[in-house]
Amino acid sequence: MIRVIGIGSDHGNDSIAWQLIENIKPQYSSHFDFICAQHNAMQLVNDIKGQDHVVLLDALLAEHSTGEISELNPDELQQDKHQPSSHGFSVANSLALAEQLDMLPKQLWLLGISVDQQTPLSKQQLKTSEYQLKQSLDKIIDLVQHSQS
Amino acid sequence: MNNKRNIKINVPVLTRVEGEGALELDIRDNEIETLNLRIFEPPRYFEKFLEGKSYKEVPDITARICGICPVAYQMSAVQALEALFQFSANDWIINMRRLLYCGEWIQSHSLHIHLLAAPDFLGFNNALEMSQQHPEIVHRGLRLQDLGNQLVSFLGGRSVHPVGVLPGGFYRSPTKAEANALLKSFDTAKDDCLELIEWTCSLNLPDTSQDFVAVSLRNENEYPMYSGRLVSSAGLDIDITEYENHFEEFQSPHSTALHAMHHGEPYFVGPLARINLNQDLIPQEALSILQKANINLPSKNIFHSIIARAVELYIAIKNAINLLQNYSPTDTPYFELDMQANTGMGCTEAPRGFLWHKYTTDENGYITYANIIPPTSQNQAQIERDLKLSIMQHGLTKTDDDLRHFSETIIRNYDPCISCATHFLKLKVNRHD
Repeated sequence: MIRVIGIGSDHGNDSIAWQLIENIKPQYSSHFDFICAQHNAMQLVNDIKGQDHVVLLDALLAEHSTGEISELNPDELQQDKHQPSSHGFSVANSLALAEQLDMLPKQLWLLGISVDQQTPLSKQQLKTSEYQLKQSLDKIIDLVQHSQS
Repeated sequence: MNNKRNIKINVPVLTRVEGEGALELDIRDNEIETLNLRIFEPPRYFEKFLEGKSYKEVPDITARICGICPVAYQMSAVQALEALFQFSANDWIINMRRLLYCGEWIQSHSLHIHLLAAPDFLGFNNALEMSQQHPEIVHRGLRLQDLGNQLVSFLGGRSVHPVGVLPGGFYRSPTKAEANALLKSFDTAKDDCLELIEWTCSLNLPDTSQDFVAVSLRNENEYPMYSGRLVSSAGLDIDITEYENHFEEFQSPHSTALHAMHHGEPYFVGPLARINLNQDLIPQEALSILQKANINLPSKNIFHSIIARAVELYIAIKNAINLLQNYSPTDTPYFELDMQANTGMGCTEAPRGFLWHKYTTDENGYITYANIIPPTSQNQAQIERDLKLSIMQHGLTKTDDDLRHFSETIIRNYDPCISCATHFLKLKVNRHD
């Protein structure tokens, strides 16, 4: 199974990863184990612990809400260069901590959904997001199956 | 050589999710002239938001006040509302509330000990740096925090801002199979915690001593978490409904957060206050470790708070195991309340100190008045007092960096929310020779 962790909360555009997971879960439950999580520094590390393949799905703050899904390189994420606290521990900090503790999965994909802080996605944009997410997940299934064969 | 110096330390912005703060420290002729911890929490209007809302919405709204201790807000709220509607929760509901609360204590204390406080005492700037040399410490923190989160999810549906609680009970009774599966995760937890207590006792903590008034709940039957009377090291022993007769909240010009005083003096709430006032309720195996390390209770060393958190983590783990072992599902996890116009109060022990709520409703169960007094406000005057005393004891001849780090360590010692803020301390020192 490939673990998909949707990071967000239940209000506004921050809920977009959770919405998408709810919409596609029935179709993909044979390949993926889905978790809807609020970002919690130590819990995220626990959620990826022991997993070989993990997909992180999170809202990506953009100038305009488009719903477009981009694959990000975890190395490009901006780490908090200050001294991170519990509240200020970003996804990048959590991944850095997991790396230091040798707890990163063998393969990690980070998918960002472009939204702004206010404008909700239109129905059409949500459909486009779902379509792009399915494409990404299909590709990930192929990659994992290929790496295991 | 003139060894007197005048120092002006100005920390303009402490940022954190739940508020903003700053530290101002003026030292003139080797005396502290001004010391203000300014927690300028942005107005969040939670008490005002609650007005006009149904009593049923209160636990879910107040849970949003804090991402670290939402359960505490829910527990004090339901207790106050049930007192208001003259409803007595049955044993099943009370035990499940204690179990849920154990989850919060476990996750919050694990987080604070391992991610926030430990780097201070091991000489690291943060947990990321510390994990390079001491990965086993962070691994232990992760293991324990995960258990706390699992417990909160068990009854609250999710670990952050749980949604399972309402006045009158819980929305759902988990199955026995779920409880048994969760119990298996606790196999090594007690040993982990006893080892943790030993480890905190071995840390090179600053050796300070001060007289402070400790205040906490006390319940003769169990270590205080969900219920009890309010007691203090100065002899207070009152019902929680008498809180307003003995404690005053007031606005301080340098902070938008309300300060609180007990008969005109600062007071201290939180884990060290609790273990000092409830040492007879600490399990013997934990007390033995403290005795072996020459930690005597009541302790006057405020830095023993990290040890107190470890002791409480063990208590919470032990209670959680006991409650899970004896768990039976119920067909009636929730009872409808008889609405009436009334006023009620509730008080429980949040991980960082007691949390007092008061609500008034109209005859239809809508909130007409809400007052919430969190531990952060209650500790603020004591933190300032502690900073003054501890910095003087530490020595004003220390370097600016040393003084800043020491001040941050003191503030972090109190409370995870303030700790978050102080991680962003920026220090400006003006010397006047």
